[in-house]
Amino acid sequence: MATAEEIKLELEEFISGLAPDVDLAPGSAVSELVVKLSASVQAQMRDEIAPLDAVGSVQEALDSEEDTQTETIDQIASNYNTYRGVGVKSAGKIRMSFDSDAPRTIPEGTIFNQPTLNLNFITTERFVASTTPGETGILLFESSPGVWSTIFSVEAELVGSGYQLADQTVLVPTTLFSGLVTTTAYGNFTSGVADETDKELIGRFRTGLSNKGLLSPQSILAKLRDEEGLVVDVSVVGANDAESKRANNTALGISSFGVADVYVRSTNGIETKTFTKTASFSGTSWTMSIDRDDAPGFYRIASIQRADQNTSGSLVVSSVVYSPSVSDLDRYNILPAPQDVRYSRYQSAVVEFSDTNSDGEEIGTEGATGEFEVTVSYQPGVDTIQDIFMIDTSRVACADYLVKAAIPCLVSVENLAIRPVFPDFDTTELKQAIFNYINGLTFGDTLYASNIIDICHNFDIKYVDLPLTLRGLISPPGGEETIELVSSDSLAIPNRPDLLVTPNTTTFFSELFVPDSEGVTAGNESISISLI
Amino acid sequence: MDEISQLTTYPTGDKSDPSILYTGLGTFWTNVFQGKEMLSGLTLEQSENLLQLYIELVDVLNSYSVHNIPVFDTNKWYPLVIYKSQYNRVPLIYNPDDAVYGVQPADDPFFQNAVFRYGFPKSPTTSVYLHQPPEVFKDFGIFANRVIDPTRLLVKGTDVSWDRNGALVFNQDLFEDPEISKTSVIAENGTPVTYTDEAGNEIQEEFVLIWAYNGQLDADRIFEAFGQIFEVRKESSQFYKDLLRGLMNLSVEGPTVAAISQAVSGILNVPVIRAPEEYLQDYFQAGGYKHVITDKNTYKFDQRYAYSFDDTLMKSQNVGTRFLAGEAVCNAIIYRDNVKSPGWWKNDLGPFLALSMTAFAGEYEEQLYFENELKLFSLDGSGNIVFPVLGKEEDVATFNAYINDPSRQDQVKEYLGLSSSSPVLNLNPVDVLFEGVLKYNTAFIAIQVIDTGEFGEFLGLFDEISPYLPRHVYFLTSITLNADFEEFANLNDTYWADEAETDRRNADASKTGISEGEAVPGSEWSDLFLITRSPIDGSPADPFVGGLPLDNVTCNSTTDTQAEVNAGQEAYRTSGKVVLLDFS
Repeated sequence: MATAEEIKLELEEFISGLAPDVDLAPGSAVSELVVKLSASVQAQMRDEIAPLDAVGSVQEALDSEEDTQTETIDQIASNYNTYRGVGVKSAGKIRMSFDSDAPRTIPEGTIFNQPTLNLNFITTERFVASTTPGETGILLFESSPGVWSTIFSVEAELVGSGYQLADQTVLVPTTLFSGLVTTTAYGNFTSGVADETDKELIGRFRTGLSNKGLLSPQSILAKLRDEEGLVVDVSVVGANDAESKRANNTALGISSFGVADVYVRSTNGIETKTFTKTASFSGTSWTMSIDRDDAPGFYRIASIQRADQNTSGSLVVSSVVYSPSVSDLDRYNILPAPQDVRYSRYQSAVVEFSDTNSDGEEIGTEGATGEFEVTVSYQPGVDTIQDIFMIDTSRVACADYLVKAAIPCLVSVENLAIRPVFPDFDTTELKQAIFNYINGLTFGDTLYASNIIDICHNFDIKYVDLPLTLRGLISPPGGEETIELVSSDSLAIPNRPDLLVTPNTTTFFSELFVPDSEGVTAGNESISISLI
Repeated sequence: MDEISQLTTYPTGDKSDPSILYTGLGTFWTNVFQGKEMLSGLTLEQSENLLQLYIELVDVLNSYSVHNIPVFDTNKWYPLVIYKSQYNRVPLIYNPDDAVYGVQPADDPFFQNAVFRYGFPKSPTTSVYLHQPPEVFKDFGIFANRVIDPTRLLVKGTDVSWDRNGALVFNQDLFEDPEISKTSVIAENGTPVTYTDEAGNEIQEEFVLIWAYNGQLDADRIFEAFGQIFEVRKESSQFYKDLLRGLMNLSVEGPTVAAISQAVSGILNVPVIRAPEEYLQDYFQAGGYKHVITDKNTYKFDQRYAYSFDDTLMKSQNVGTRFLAGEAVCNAIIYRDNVKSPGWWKNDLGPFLALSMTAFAGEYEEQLYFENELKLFSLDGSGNIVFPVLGKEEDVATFNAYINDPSRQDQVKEYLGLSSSSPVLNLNPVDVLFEGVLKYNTAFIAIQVIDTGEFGEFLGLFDEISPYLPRHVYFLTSITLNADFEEFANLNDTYWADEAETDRRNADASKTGISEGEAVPGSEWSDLFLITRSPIDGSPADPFVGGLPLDNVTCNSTTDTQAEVNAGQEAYRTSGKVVLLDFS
């Protein structure tokens, strides 16, 4: 649009064209009282049109250095059938342990602080714990000799993905509880989501306008993310991709095509689920089956505990054997190889584990059964999404689309040393920003150390001492040895279609705490920052 | 003068009519007031401004539609200020086939025998006058020295034109034209502004102001409105707009054949039928283009493409030809699948089918090639099937071992019709594969491109279509480089980037011939393409030479289906033709 100066020039041109003798020099009466005034009014009129210009608004939002959330972008987004995602708070359960079985009351609004990350979690209702809770109370049970515990729900103080606590993370109530022994997270918290920014919303225009069906990667993403709200990201591998081999077993050994694998990232972070299973003792160990519907497509077993004891830590898992489970299903995908089953809704598992006493002797007698609580890490919704690809109201004719949870590459950031401007620098927000960056990566992205350094410089930091160490761990679905990635510059998913590990199938995740070999996560933070 | 006067009128209502605005002031101001001419000019400008506001509002509203968005914003009167210090001195920009190192050729239209220097503007050596307008200024109708009663008009194409670098080329020196007023530039402190010319003389700075009627200004509107959605950035143009229309259509409609064809045609800048059904009315060639007129639309495309119908027939025989939506009116795009064209592979595929090693069960190192003609299928002395397949020796053995596995050998024999009583058969291997396995889930897109630049452009943009195609369908893509002869000299050991990034990739993104088996994670080619160099000259095991630095590439498209590949050459097969690249 024309500038005020251009309008002024045009005014002068028209006036001098019809009245050549009029003095239009700067300072003259006509210039000051007529030309400038009129140019100003006309420029104002053009400015009135500017807010209508979607192009200008989008440009402004994209050019903005700060995250914005403007109503104009909301309105433009509605043209693409796209609406701003409102934030979601992380939620989960925490376990408080006391030194006696005296009844306890946890008032609504009680704040629990995670001191390392400085995150607050709040109870949204009042809980009364006792050994005889009745219908309205919650149970206070003896979790170990002389220690009584209770479990209740909390949610994050604010929306955002940075609040996703890992199992066993230590919390501290900000109000005094007498006889308190410990307070820890009970299972991983759900992953929260921050309010969507203008830039993020504009980035979804493409899927917003897309046909929402199951026929192409873009329309699948649009349907599952924008219409169903089931995923954060999707990658579809099929006929022209090296990772797709499910249809190769024809008589001529040439793919008949007609199949595709849908890898989904349903949440930003990895979540956990706890359920109770019956195990039987045979020989020298316990064995239990995890059915396909217990936690469809789960990643790993985080812990197994006796259901009646609620101790911390996990019993020792000696083996997990995965197998397909399709019984009683009236339709299912073709699953020619074990690696096709892993992380899919058809995955079932037989778990062998041991439960020993303090002397190292196995607890259990031949044929005995027991109840155990199993906690697994997983991406929720794999079964629901698979159903969408199978039911006649949505599936593509003759096409076999197998849904699998994204193969995770668990990331840790080590040796990140920073020199803050002020010595009392609190690393909490920085850790959350890095955590959000990693969990915000999508299929095909590379994790760059330089981006982490950029994030650091958004804070009051003088410099970052290099090198830092990026470490990634991938568990291939075929059960092969884990792939470890280590770099000081960047982590890229390797291209190993033989293991089904490629940028199309595998994506980065970060949990706040790195699980140890037994799945216990109370130890090392996955993002470790030191001040220098 | 009358012509220009008409330009300032417009078909709008009374409220923006300059004469009504003027008379509406009352008789005192229009008859008695001494400055009534000034008022007349003021009201005329205000009515112009109302019109400009209307144009801008329409542009804004049209920008909500990918079909209607203007390529450029229109400014009814755009003032172009030309400073003497910048006149006839334009930036040095090296474009293909433009400037050369050293002395410019004697046949250069503007710069014959001139020597350009980095960091210095270039001045023409002939009697033309160049000016580099602001980047935003893209086009115009005419230039006038004044808006009211102009006495000098500069007509586009006659008095002024564009050069390939976006500079205006005037056929006269505007600063010597007495009809164009010049103004000295005075600094804020009242002193004249001067500059030093190339001869070292201190010159008084001046400027001329000319008015562009219907100035076309690039506000990057297409990219901001739609290009950023698809993350495709190009210069504003009708081609860019058509490309985005195709992508938008593909996105919204889903991968219909018509939508795929339209998107591909958008990339190639060739038209496809827009209405559900159209009938040919006329066709002709003019101005470097071929034109097709139907009962509903008109289309034009580069004359180097052929019509999609047989133009050797009498025109009356073609008139009335029925087209369906998505069909191309030229031969740049061919789409085939078994529903549209049963058995299409027999006619359209060319002499070979190359399949990626990932399409096979088992471990393969390279692609396998199947010939699209009758070949001998037989049983060997052990009763094993000998399938005529080309490729690396180990891969051929793996393939034959697979089909001869006892669990499936009888089934394959039965399918082929081989038996102890009939141990030898002549069959078309490609036909065997399609009839047996591939035909229901394989689509074929054949593209013709007419020069290497377009080839690279097409490959660069085709990746944008990939997310919209169904993944359970195998897309075979054939690209024919239809350039008769192109030579790129003095390349200074650099490879033609487009080809380096594309021709060397297989469907699985490995780079045959250069670094066999080296996968390219995240490659845009890993998803869609089967671009392959196929066996030449009966040496299928190792037919390729590659990875050589080159100073000179000769791209020679022949009609031969066989060619001898010598050291220093690479061979590419595109739809049956052999393209040889010479490296020296």
